Amino acid sequence: MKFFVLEFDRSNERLLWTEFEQIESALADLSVKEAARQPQVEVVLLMGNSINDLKVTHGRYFMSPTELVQRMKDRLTADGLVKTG
Amino acid sequence: MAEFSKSALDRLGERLRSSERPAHDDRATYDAYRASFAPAVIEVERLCADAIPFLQGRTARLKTLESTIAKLRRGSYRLSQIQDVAGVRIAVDDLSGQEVALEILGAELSILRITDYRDRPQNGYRALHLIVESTFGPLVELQLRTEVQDIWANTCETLAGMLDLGIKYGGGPDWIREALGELSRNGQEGETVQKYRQVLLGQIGAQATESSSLPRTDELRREFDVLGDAFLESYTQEVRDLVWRAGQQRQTS
Repeated sequence: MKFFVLEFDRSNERLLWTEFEQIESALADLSVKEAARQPQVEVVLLMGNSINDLKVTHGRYFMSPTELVQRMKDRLTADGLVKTG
Repeated sequence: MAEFSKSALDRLGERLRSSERPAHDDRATYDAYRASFAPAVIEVERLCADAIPFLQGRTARLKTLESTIAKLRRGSYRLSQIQDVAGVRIAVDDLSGQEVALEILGAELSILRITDYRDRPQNGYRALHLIVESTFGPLVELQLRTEVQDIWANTCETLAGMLDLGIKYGGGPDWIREALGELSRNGQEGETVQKYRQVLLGQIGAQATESSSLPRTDELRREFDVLGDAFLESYTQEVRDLVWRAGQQRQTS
């Protein structure tokens, strides 16, 4: 498992992330960034096997809702569950 | 958890709730409290991975101080009562996948409570939430979301970030609340159509060995296909319209 501290700026939807191998390092980084964050910036600690897992479960940091719904359409189309692409 | 008595935690929660800017010592205490959940959340994530390795979308998180303070201020919660300091989220394709995941996890985990928001949404939010025991003591909240449910939640969070954080908790402008409610209901209907279509296809598969001519089921399948396609088109368009309209409002405000 890897540990990711994400900084997401809601005002411009800009995302920065830092990857850690140890949770202790990630927690220390999270604490510093939480204390220093601007009000419009979200700082979160997520854990997963890879950044791709985060893209699936926390898609909004990486894609707009429009892109997320298009991703679903593409999957269903590829699976043959819908005709529209 | 032994070093955090319930009364000390609740006093910390009161200070976090009432202070404009948390004191350094309170931040440090919250950091230590949150860190005490790390072994539990890692354990539950690992148990989920072992139980359902075929699912790719699985992550864990520890609750941010911002989010904890927001929760304390929202209701009559005490810090010691908050059960989602540690959380695991699992993404599944659809309702059938959600049911399968629930059944498997139910056999593998020690589940204390299941809250089903699918048919009784909370401000439009739909998902399955489980409270799971860990061997380390702290409880972990496990969220199971289908793609449709997740898109709704992401849309809601995005609109909240664009316009008003209160949107996440059922606040914000009337038109947003109504549109999110409509999107949630459409998602529920669309997922139900998806589920019955899968049931039908399963039955067709089972009956195909018994009979080569099933005109009525073919007709039903076509009807479900049309309904499924229509749902997807309308859901996509609703999400696009909502985000576009929120963008317009952000520019003018």
